Amino acid sequence: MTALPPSLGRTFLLAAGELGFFSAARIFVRETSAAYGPDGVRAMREQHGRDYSVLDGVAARYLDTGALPGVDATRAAEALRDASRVLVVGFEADALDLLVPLLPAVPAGLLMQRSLGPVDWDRVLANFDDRLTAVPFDDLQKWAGSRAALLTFVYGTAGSLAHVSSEWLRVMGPDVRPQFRSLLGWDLLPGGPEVYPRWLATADVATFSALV
Amino acid sequence: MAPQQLIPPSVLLVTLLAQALLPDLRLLIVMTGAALCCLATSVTGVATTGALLADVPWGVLIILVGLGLLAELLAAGRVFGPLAVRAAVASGGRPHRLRLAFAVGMYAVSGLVNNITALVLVLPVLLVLLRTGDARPRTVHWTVGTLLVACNLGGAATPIGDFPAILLLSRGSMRFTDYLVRALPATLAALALLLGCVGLLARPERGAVDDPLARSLSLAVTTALHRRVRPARGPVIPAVLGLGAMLLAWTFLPDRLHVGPELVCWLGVCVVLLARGRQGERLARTRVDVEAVLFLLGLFVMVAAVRRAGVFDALGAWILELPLPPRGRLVVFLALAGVLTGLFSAGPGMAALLNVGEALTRELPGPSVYVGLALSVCAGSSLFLTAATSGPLAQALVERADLRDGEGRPVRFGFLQFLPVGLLSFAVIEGVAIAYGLLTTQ
Repeated sequence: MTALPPSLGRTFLLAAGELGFFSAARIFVRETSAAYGPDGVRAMREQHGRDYSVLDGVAARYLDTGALPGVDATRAAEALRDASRVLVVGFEADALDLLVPLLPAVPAGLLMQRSLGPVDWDRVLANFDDRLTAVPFDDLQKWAGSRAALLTFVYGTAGSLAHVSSEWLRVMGPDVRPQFRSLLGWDLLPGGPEVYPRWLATADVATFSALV
Repeated sequence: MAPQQLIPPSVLLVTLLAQALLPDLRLLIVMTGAALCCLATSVTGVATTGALLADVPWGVLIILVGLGLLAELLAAGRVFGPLAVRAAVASGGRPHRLRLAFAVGMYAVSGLVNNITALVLVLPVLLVLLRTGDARPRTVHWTVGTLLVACNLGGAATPIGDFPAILLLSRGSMRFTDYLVRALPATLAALALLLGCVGLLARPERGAVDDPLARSLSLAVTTALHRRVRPARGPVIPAVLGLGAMLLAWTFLPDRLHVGPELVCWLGVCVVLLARGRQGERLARTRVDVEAVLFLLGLFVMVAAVRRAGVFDALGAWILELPLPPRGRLVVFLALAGVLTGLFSAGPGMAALLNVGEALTRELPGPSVYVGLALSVCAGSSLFLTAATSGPLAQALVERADLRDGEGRPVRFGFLQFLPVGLLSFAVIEGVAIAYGLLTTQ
């Protein structure tokens, strides 16, 4: 079996904290493939797939198709075009890098809440050139409104359940639902992970006003 | 020496020892020591508090505050993060190249902004690389340690890099270019020597296994974390133009105009901050390093009291009476300066020793004494992790980064871990200081 760096799992978790599970997984699959080819990706899946279900899912797509799963922001942008403002819960660098420029007239906020460890928020936001505003948890209500939208990332669905980051469960509740016009789920990994989604939480698909 | 003359130096000594032993209370200790010195000189008739305050080199404080605000503006312009990432990419993620690239980068940055700001701007990028790459304790200790020493050397390389050189500039002991043309090559030589010694003698990468995938992952993650971080032109352009104008003024303004370096800095920084409007106002109101200003103010008051008591004159006379040739006396003075700075830190070391050094300039060229002193103070600052304010900050940043070795055990970076780096750095820089003193007084 290909010998992978012993710290790979810990490094992945660190990267996922500031880039998002999906974006970090794309980097790790790409680099491992470049170094050791499909055998390396298989070895990574074998050694770390059970711990990190999104990494497993991205690696599986790569091994099936020979390409990394892509990111298409047009449908999410279309769904948010009429919103007065968008508050993002959870973080995926690859997805937001594409989405934010597609919504030049819509103020966008990022909830400063990550459960994976300390995050350098200044660094995260510096990548968006002031187009993304940091929103502390206590300011959630200030972003509510009749045309406001909440956006989170979904890592596949299983029946009526969607795999989401745990931040979504902290935000989502019966009191929050009526305060936003749309609650958008953006599925980055359709089909979902093949292993138990450790580090993720599950939410009822019906809680979303739209799933793209 | 009369008994009342001994009170101020005794208070100074006790204060310096106490602040070194209790760094958490250092500001209160130094301010209390300064007040006690004022009391002692007032009661004994040596000098009034007003006279001691008049002796404070306010120009130094103005330059420190001004350059600190300029550094804040550069930090807001996110100019150093992308440079640090480029350095990381250029190194290919290899630990020895990484250490070289970051040490040279830190040296350059800390020559322009104060050490604390330089560290806060550059170290986080290195810590990401270490967290995602080779976090062996030995690599971490030597890489972060070398970075800290490079920071001290960069601060000593230019007249605006750190407090000791600013003091020389502000007091008129040396002109801007006179200091720069002497200190820059000397500190560069020390840096090259240090990096050579670390690579050849300490060999931090000894026993490490090179893993190309770990390196490429580390670089890819670091690049992704900074993927779209670009310098913000708004703050960067006025800050760079202002700094450039100040450098030109420090270099070329004729003495007959009586526009001192502190006035150049004062005016320059005000113009730059005004150009930024509300951002400038916010920085001026909230980002002045009050702790550093009060700490140095307290030190200056104590040093003024000791000077008024005639102690520095006596010390200078003692050095001049040593049964050695003048160059031998210079060597003794520089070695003492290095050790005392290591014990008491750079601020107190330079503030007190400059007065003694002035006595030596009666028989030796001023630049040799002053640049040698600045290098010795730099050596002392690099001896212990606690000798420079950037040391505890680096320790805190490393702890916060939660570095882990290959087995998942936390990697510490504290006094003991820095000590081998400090001892080697002290030997190298103090050696360069003494060699500089001897070579330039032949």
